[in-house]
Amino acid sequence: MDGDVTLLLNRWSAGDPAALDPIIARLYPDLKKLAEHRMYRERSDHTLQATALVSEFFLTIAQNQGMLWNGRQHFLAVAGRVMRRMLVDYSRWHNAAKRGGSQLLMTIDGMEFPDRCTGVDMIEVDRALDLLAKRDERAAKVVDMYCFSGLTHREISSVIGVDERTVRRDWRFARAWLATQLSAKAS
Amino acid sequence: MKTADWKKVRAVFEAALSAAEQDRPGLVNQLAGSDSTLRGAVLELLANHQDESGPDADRPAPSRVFQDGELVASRFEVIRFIDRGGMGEVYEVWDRRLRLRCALKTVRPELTGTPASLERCEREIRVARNVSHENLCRVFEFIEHTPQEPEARVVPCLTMEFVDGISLAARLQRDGPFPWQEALPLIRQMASGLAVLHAEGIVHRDLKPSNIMVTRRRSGEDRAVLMDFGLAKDLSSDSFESTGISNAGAPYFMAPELLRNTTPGVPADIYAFGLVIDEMVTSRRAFEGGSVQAICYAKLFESPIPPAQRAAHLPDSWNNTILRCLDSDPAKRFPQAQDVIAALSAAPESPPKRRKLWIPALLTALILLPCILLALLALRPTAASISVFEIENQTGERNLEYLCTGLTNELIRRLASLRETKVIPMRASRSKTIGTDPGRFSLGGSLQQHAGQLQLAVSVLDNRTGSLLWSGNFDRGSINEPVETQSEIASSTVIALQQNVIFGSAGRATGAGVVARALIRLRSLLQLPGGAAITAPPTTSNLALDKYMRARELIVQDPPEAIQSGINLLNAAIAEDPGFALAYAALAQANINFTGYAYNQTQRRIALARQYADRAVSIDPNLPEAHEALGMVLEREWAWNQAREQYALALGLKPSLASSRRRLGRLLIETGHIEEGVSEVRRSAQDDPYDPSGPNYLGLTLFLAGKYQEALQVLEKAAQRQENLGGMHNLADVHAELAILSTGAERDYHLHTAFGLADRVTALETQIRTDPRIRTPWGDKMHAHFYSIQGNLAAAAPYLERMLTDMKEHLTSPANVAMVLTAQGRNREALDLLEQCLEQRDPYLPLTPSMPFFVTLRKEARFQSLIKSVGM
Repeated sequence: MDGDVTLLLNRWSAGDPAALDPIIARLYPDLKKLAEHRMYRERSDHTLQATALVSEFFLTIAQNQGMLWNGRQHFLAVAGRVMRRMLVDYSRWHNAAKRGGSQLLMTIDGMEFPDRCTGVDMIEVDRALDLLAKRDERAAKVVDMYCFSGLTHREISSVIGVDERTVRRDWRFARAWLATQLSAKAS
Repeated sequence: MKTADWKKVRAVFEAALSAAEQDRPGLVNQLAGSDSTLRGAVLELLANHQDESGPDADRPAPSRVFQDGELVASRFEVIRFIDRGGMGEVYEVWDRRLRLRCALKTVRPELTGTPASLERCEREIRVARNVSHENLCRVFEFIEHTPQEPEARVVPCLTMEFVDGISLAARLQRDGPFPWQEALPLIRQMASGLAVLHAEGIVHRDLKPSNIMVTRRRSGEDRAVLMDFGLAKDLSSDSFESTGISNAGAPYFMAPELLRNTTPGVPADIYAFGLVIDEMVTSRRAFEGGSVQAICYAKLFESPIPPAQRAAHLPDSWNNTILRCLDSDPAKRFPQAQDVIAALSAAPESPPKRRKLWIPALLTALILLPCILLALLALRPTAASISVFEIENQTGERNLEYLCTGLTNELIRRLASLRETKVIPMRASRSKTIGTDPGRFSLGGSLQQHAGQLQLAVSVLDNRTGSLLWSGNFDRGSINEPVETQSEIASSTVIALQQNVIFGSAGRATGAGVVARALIRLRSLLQLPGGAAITAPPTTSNLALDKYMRARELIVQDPPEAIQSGINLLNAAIAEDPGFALAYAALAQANINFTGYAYNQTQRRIALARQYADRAVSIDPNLPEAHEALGMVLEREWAWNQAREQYALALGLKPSLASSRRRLGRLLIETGHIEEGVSEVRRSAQDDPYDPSGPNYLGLTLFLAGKYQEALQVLEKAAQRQENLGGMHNLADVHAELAILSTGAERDYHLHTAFGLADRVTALETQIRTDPRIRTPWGDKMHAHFYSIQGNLAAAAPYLERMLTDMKEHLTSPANVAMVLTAQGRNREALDLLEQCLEQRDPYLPLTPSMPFFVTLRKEARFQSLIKSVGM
C-alpha cells in the first residue's frame, strides 16, 4: 500500500472517512507496542508523560518506512486520529487494571475538552465522537484535529479545504454537543 | 436531541450565537416555533456553549499545600504563596532557626515516593548544594513536612535562596523582547551560571525563561539567576534512570533528542539556552505550534525559523549563534555555554550599518592616553563636526612639506576615530578658504621657523560665532624623528581638542588636568636625547609617508586583517618610493607579528620578514628600525647573539628607540640574564610611555622574571587601557601561576579570573579569525591549561582534543600542547612534543626555559638537553 498513502490521504482529506483506516491499520501495531511499554512504566500522573507520549508516538509514525507524509498538517491529522484510538485502548487497559476502579482522567496539556473539570473520560469522549461522526463527519474531524492533533483552526481549514470560519463554527458546535452528551452521561 | 433534525439544530444554534447572550432564548423560541424537541436541544447546547475567551475562567484554582502563616517542618513560617510550577509549589518563607528569608518549594510526592527516588532526589540536592555562584539559585536543604492530620502524606520540600525579582518570562511578557545589545549582559550571566553547573557535572535540563529570575543588584544592574536545577541529574553518576521524569521539561524548550527519550546532556542545555536567547531578542517563536503535538512535530521534523526573520536588525552572528544552539544534532551545537557567549560577542558592539566605525575606534585607543578614555566615560560627548584644513608650511623649506601633510593626515585620522565626531577634511589651507563653513568647528594650523626653531601653531574656531576656541603652540628644537613628532603633536592636539571643543564647558572643567598633563608630556618630548640637525625625511614621497603612518599602527593591532591591511599599505608605500627603508623594516615586523595569529604561516612569514629586514638594512645601514627588524628575524631563527647585536646596533643609532630596548630586555631574560633584562624593559617603558605594546611586554617580562605581583599590576593597567589578545593571555597566565602558588579562596579567585580572561580571548579570537579553519587556538590553550591546573581533567579534555587537532593541522604550536600536558603531570609526553618543536625550530620553544609553567620539567635531563640545543 506504500505508494497509495498519498492517494489515501488525499481521499481522506477530501472527505472519505474509509480512506484513513488502511493507514491506521498500517501504523497501529507499532503504536500499540509503544503504548503497552509505556503503560508498564507509567506513573499515577499522566500530565508528566504527555510530551513523552506524543513525541514517541510521532517518532514511531514518522519512522514507519514507506509512509510519505504530505507535510506537517497531514501528519498531525493522521497522528491525531491514531492517538485518539490509542488513548481509548490505554484507558480501557487502565480501567481493567484497576478492576473497574475509577476511570482514567486524561489531562494532556494542549488538549481541550468540553468539560469544566480537569479530566474527561476518554472512553466516553470516543463514543460521543463516533456518534458525532455519524451525524456530522466534518465536525467530528475538526474535533479530532483540534484536540488530538493539536492543529490550529487555520491549519484544519487547509487540511479539509473549508473556510477557517466554518472550522470555528464546527468546533464550537461540536464542543457544545459533546459537553451535552458527556454531561448527560455523567448525570 | 436524538430525534431533532440535525441540520435544523445546527442552523438555530448558529443563529442564536450570532445574537447577544440575553436575546438568545427568545430567538430560539421564535425560530423553533412549535418544535419543542428542537428548542430543547438548542437550549441545551447553548447552556453547554463556552465563549472562546475563557474556558479556564470558571475552573477552580487548585488548592495550595500550605496556607499563609503556616509553620512548615516546625521551622519555616509561610509568608506568601509565589507560584506553581512543574515540580511543585513555591512559597516565600521565614526560617525561624537561621532567622532569614528563603524560598520553599514543595516536591511532587512521586519524585520522592520510593526509597530509590528519594535517594536520587537527595543525591541531586547534595550535588546542587555544592554549587555556589551568583547566577545560580543556591539550594539549602531537603526537608520533610509531616502534616498534623493523621492520614496525611509527608510533604517533601526543598529550601533555597529567595530571589526577589521577576522571572525572565514575566519580564519579557511585560516589556517585550530586548534589543540584542541590551540582552547580552544577562545572557552572559546565564552562561556563567550554566558553565559552573556543567563544570560540576550537572545538567540543568529545565532551562526556560520562567526558570530564570531577574533581580536588581544594589548597583542597579540586572542579575540573572538560574533556578530549578533541582531536576538536574548528576552526570558523573552512572545510576541514571530513564523514567517518565526525564521528559518533564517544558516541551517548547526541550531539545529534540529529549523527545527521542535519550539521556539529557550538556547539549540539551545549550539547546535550551539558545531558545532562551531567541526568546529574549525576537518577537515570535522559533517553532510555531499552539499545542504539545504541533511543537513536538516541529521539534522533531522541522527547522527553526531563523531568528533574523523574527527580529529586525539582529546581527548575523546572533542569528548564526542561536541557530547553532538549535542544531538538531547535539554534536554540532556549541560544546559549552561560554562558547555561545564568545560567538555572540563576535558581533560588533554597534548596529550593522555603523560597523565601519569599529576599526578606526580601535585604532585610536592605541596611542591616546588612558585619560581620554576616562574622559570619554565620564562625559557624554555631543556630536561635533569639525573641518580640518591643511597645516600650512610657512618655514620656506620645501623639505618640510611632508611634515605638514603628514601632520594634517594624522589629525584627520585621529579626530575621525573619535566617536561622535564628524571630520570634514578640507584639502586646502584655512587661509585660502575663508568663507567656507561646512562644520561646527574648524581646525587649521601652520608650521613656522624662527631662528632655527620650528613651531607648530594649531587653532580651532567655532564657526558659528567665529571665536577662537583653542590654540596651541608646539615648539621643537629639531625634528630628528619626523614620524614620532607627527604622532605626538597630532595626539596632543586631539587630546586638547577633546577637552576643550568636543566636550564644551563641562569638558573644560573636568579636563583641565588632562590638558596640563598633555602639555607636560610635550615639554618632556623636547628634552629627548639626540640633538642632531634636521635629518633628511625618511621618504621624499608624501604619499608614501602617509601610507607608512597609517600602516604603522595597523601592524601592531589584534585583528590579522588589520596587520594585513598594514602590509598592503606598506607595499603601496614601497611602490611609491622603492627606497623607503623604514617601510621595509615595518614589513618585516608586520610579518613576524602575523605569525601570532596564524601559526601555520610561521615559516613562510619569517622567511619573508628576513628578506624585508635585509633589504631595509641594505638601503639604509644607519636606520635603527632596520636593525631592530633584523634582530626580530634573527631571534626567530634562534640566532640569539646576532639578534642581540642587532638590537644593540639599533640602540647605538638611537638610544630612545624603546621597542629595540624592550626586545633586547626580553632576550636577556630568555637567555638567563634576568635582572639585566628586567631593567632594560623597565627603561624602555620609561623612554616611551606611549608605546602601545610596552605594558604587555613589560608584564610578560616581569612574569618570566618571577615578579608576579608587579606583572599583575602592569598587565591589569594595560588591560584597562585596551583589550588585546596578547595582554589578556599574559594576564591570565599570571593569574594561573598565582593559582598554582596559592590555596583556598585565593586560588579560586585567581582561577576564576584566569577563566574569565580565557573566555574573553576565545571571544576575541572568534571575532578576529580570518580563516574558518582556524578555531580559537589561544582560548583553547588557555582553557585546557587552566582546567588542567585546576585538576579538572574532564573539562580540559575537549579543549586539549581541539588543540591536538590544531597541532596536527599546524594551527597551534606543540609547545602549547606540551604546556597543558605538563600541567597534567604528563611530563614524558610533554617532552616528546618539545623535542618535536626542536626539529621544527618552533618559535615558541625558546620561551619554555623561562616560562614558570615548565618548572616541573626543569630537572629532567631531556629538558636540559633541549635548552642546550636551542642554544640559550
